[in-house]
Amino acid sequence: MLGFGRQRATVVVTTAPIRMNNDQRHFFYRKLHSLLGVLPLGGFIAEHFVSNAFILGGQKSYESAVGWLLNMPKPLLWTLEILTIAAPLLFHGVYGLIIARQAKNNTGNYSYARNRNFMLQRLTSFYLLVFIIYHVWSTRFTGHFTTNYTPDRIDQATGLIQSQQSIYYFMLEKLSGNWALGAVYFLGVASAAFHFGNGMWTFCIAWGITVGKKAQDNARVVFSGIGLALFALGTATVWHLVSTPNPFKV
Amino acid sequence: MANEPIKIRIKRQPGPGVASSWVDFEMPYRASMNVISCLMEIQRNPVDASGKPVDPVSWDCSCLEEVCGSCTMVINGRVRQSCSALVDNIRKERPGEPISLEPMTKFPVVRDLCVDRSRMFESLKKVKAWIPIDGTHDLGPGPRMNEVDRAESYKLSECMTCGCCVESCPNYNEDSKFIGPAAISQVVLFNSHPTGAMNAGERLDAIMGEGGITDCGNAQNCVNVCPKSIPLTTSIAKASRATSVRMITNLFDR
Amino acid sequence: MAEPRVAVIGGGLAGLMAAIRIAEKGGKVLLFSVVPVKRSHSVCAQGGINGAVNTKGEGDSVLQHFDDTVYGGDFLGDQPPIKAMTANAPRIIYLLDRMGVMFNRTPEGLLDFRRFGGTLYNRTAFAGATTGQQLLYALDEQVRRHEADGKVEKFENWEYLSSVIDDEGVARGIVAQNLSTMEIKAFACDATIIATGGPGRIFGKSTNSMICTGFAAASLYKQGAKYANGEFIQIHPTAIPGEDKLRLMSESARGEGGRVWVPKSSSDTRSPRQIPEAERWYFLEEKYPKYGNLVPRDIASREIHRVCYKLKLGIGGGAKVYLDLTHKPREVLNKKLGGILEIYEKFVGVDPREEPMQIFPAVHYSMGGLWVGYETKADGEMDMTHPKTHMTSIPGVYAAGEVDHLYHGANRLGANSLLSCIFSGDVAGPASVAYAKGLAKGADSVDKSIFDREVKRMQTEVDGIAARTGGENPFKIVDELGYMMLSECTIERYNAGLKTTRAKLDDLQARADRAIAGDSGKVANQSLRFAHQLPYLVQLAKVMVDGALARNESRGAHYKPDFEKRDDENWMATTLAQFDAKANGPSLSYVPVDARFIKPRPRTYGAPGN
Repeated sequence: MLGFGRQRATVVVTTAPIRMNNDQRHFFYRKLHSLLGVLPLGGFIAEHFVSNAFILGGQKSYESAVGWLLNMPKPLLWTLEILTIAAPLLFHGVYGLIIARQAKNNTGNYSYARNRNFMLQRLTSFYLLVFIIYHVWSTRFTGHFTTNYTPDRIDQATGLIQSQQSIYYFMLEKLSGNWALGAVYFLGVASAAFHFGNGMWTFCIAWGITVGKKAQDNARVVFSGIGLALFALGTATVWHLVSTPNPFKV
Repeated sequence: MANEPIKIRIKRQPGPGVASSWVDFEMPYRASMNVISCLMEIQRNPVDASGKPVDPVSWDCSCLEEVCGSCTMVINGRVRQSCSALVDNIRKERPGEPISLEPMTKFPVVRDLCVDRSRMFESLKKVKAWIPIDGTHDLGPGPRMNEVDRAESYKLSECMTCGCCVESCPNYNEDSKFIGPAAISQVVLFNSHPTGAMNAGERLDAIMGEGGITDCGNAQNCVNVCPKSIPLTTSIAKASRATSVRMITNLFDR
Repeated sequence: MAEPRVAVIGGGLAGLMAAIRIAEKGGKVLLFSVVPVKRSHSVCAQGGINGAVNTKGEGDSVLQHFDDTVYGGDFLGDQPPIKAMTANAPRIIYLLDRMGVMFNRTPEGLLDFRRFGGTLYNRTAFAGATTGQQLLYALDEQVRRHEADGKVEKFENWEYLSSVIDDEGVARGIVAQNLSTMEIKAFACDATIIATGGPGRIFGKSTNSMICTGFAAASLYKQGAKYANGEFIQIHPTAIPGEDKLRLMSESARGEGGRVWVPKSSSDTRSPRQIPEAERWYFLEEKYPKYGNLVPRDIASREIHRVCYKLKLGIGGGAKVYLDLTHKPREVLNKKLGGILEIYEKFVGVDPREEPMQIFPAVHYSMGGLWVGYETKADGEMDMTHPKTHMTSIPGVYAAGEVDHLYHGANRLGANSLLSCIFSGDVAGPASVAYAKGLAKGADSVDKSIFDREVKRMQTEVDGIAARTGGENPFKIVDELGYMMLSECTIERYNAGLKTTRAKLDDLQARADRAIAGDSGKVANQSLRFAHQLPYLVQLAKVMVDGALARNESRGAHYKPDFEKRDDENWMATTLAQFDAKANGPSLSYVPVDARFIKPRPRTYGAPGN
C-alpha cells in the first residue's frame, strides 16, 4: 500500500507550534478551508435547512423547532454564532475567493460533468457570498433580533400570538407575495445545496476518504441525494413563505 | 465527405512572445492519415490553402505511436497526441469545418505548434521522482513485489509527461503554481514502491505546499484526457490521504 | 586536472546509462539530446530484455545466452564483447529491478520471464509490452537525480553536429546546435560518447522514431570515424503498415503464443476467423517445427516476404499476413501485451483480441554502426574497464547503443537490444572517464581556435543552406531515398539492383547537397535542420549499399538469392567503411571476426533439408 510517509519531516519544526513556513501555511489554509466547509459550515447549512423546513408545519411547528435558539442566553448565542458560523464563514468565503481566482475555466472544450461542477462550485460561491451577506444583514442585524414589537392580536382558535414578534411572521412579512425576493432566495437555496453536495464530494477526495473511482462514484450518488434533499426542503420553505398570505398586510 | 480534400487551420506563431495568427491549409486525402501525416504533407509542399508559399509548420513529434509524449497539441479544441489523431475520426467532430490545430496553451510557445514543457520536468525533480538506489554496483535483485500491486503501479509508470492532463486542468496555468496531476501521480508511484516508500515523506513534503496537492480542485479533466488512461484522480486521492495523515501525525508526533 | 568532463550525445538507454556511470565515477556529464531525454526512441522497445537469470527451472545459463546470440548473429559478432554482455545481463536486469522498473512478476513476487525469438528458453524480463519505455524512465529518473545533484547538465533540444578534433586527431569537444534558437556552439570536453541510435530515416518509413536519422554517426563518419557492418539492417517481421510510419508489433506477441499464417488460397475472401484450421497455412511452424513462430527475425521476415511475393499468398494477394492471438484469453493478453494491442487497436481500428492482426515486415534496427574497439584480458575476456574499450577510431570519441556495431553480428535477437544498449553504456561510461583521467592535458587547456574552427565549419554549412535558393525540398528527396533503399537494400538484395541504386545515390547526393530549407524562420527551423542532415544521410546510405554490394554471400539479415550460402572462408569479416573525400563515398576494408570461443556452425534452426 501507499506509504503515508513514516519518514519524519525533513525540516523539523522545533520552535513555536504555530510558526510555519510559506508552504506549510499554504497547505494548512487549504486544508482548513476544506475542513471548515464541512464542519461547522456544512453541518450548519444542513441544520439551517432542516430547521427552517419546519415552517411547512406552520407557526407552531416552526417556533418550537427554532425556539431553543431564540431562547438561548445571549452571550452563549453570540459565542456560538461567532465561533461556528461567522468566523468559519468569513474564512471559508474570503479564502475561497482566492482559490476560485486560480481557475481558468474551460468547460467549452472539456464539457465533462465534473468540469462543469467544478465551475459551478466557484460560480455558486460568488452568489452565496453576496446572498449570505444580504441574508444575514436583513435577518440577523436589521430584523427580528433587533426590533421590539407589540402584540397585535391573539388567534382565538390556537391561542398563539399572531405578532410580528413571532419569527414566523417576521419571515412571512418579508417574503409573502414577494416573488422577486423569492427568486433571490430560491437561487440562494439552490446554490447552497449544490455547493454543499459538491463540496462534500470533493472533501472526501481532498482528505483521501474516497480514493478509487467506484468509491467516488458512490459518494457522488450519496451527496447528490443529500444535496437534492436539501434543495427540495429549501425550495419548499421558500415556496411556503412566498405563497402564504400575510395576515398583517392590509 | 470521405475522400474530400483535408482542410486544416493552424494557429501559427513565428517565435516566442510574438502574435499568433490562423493559417488555412488544404491537402489531398489518403486513407488512414493522421494529423502528423498532414503536417508532413505541409513540409513537403509548404503552401497555404490559396496556394501561396509559406514557411513550413514546426511541430514536435518522435515515436508516432503514442509512447514518447512529444506530439501533444490542441486539436479541434481538445488536447491530445497528434499521432493517434486519425483524420477520419477528427473530421467527424466538427462536420464541415476545417480541423483546427493549436499549440498547448499552458506552456510558452517556441514556434507554431512547438511549446516548451520544461516546467513539467522540473516538477519531477521537485517531487524526487526516482528510487534512491545506492549505486549501480551489483546488489542482487530488487525487493519482491506482489503482482497485483505491481500491475497497479505499472499503470502509473506509463506516464509520458505529454502534458495533456495539465493542459486540460483549469487550475494549472501561468498564474498558478499548481504542480499538476502527472507529478502527483509520480509521487504515488514511487511511494508505493518498497524501496521508494523509505523516502515517502520527502516526496509528500514536496507536494504539501503552495502549488501542491491542495491546489487540485477536482475538475477531473485530467483523467478524461490522459492518452494512457492513467487513473490520475485515484492517484490524487491517494496522495491526499497520505498528505492528510502526514499533516495530522506531524502535528501529534513532534 | 579538474573533474573529467564527458559529453554524452543522446538520451536513450545507452546514453543515460553512460551518464549515470560517469556521474558515479566522479565525472561531469554534459548530456545532449534532440528531444527531452524521456522521449528518446528507446521508449518504442516493447517486448523485453534478455538475461539468463534461470528462474524458470529450465537450466538456462549465461553461456547458453551467449551461444544463442552468436548463432543468432550468424557468427559475424566478435565474441568477447558478446560474452561479456550476456554474462552481465542478469546483473543489469537486477539493477533495473532495484531502480523500480515495474517488471511483471510471478505469483511469488519474483521477476517473470517470457520467450522470445531465437531461443528455446524463457529468458526475457518484461514490463507489460512497454519494456523499453519502462527501462528508459528508470534510467531517466536516476539521471534526473544526478542532475539535481549537479553532476549532470542536460542540453535537451540540442543537436550534436560534429566533433572538435585537434591537429593530433584527438577529439576535444563537440559542436552542437540549439534547435530552438538555432545557435551553434562548441563545448569542450575530455571525451564524447555518441549514443544516438539507429538510421531508420534513411529508409523513409520504418519502425524507428522520426529522430532516428543516423545524422550524428554520419557526421562522425565524414570526420574520419570507421563505420562497421553498415549493410546489416534488421527487418522486423511484424509491423503495422501505416501512412506516416510502420509501427512495430512486438515479437512478444509471438513469444506469448501468437501464430503467423495465411489462407491457403489467396482468393479466400472470408474474414479470418471464418477460415477453418485446415484451410490455414502456418508456414513458420511448418518449416521450423522446433522454433515455430519464434525463429530469428531475419528468417521470419524472409519467409513472410517469400510467401507474399514469390508464392503470392499474402492476404487477398497483397503484402500482408495474419498474426493471430485470438486463441489466447483476453485477460492474459491485456496483462502481458496490453500496450502493443492498444497501439494496433488505436491505429488500425480493429481489436486484435477478436480478430487476427494484419502485419508485414519493416526496417527496424541497424546491427552495424560506428566501429568501436575492445581490449581483452589474458584469459580472452573483454576488458570492460580499459579506456580503449568502446572507443571509435577517433581518440576520445566513444559509441554506445544501436549506433555502435559491437554486439549483434549479422542479426540481432529480439530483446537483446535493450540489453546491449544498457550494457554498452555501462561499459563506455567508465571507459571514457578512465580515458579522460589518463589525458596529459584536458580539453579546457586546448587552444580556443581549434573550437572556433569547427564552429565556423558548421556555421558555414548551415548558413549556406539558409541562403540557398532554387534547390529541392529535402523532405521530397528523402522520400526518394527511402523508396530506393527499401526496394533494393532490405530483405532480398541483388547485385544488379544494388549497382543501379548506388549510381542513383550519387545523383541523389548531388541533389541533396543543393537542397533548400524553404523556411525563413529564425527559431525552431526544422526544414533548415533537415536540409543540413540530408546529405549526411545519403552518405550513410552509400555505406550500406556498398557494403551489401561487396558482400557476396548470405549471412543473417544480409540475403542475396544469387549467393545463398554463408561463406565463412571469405566473408567471416567485419566490414569497415571509411569516408573517402575524393570518391565522395566509402572505401571498404575488412577485419576478421574474433571467434575465439564458439566455432562457426551452420545456422538452420532445425529446419529440415538445410
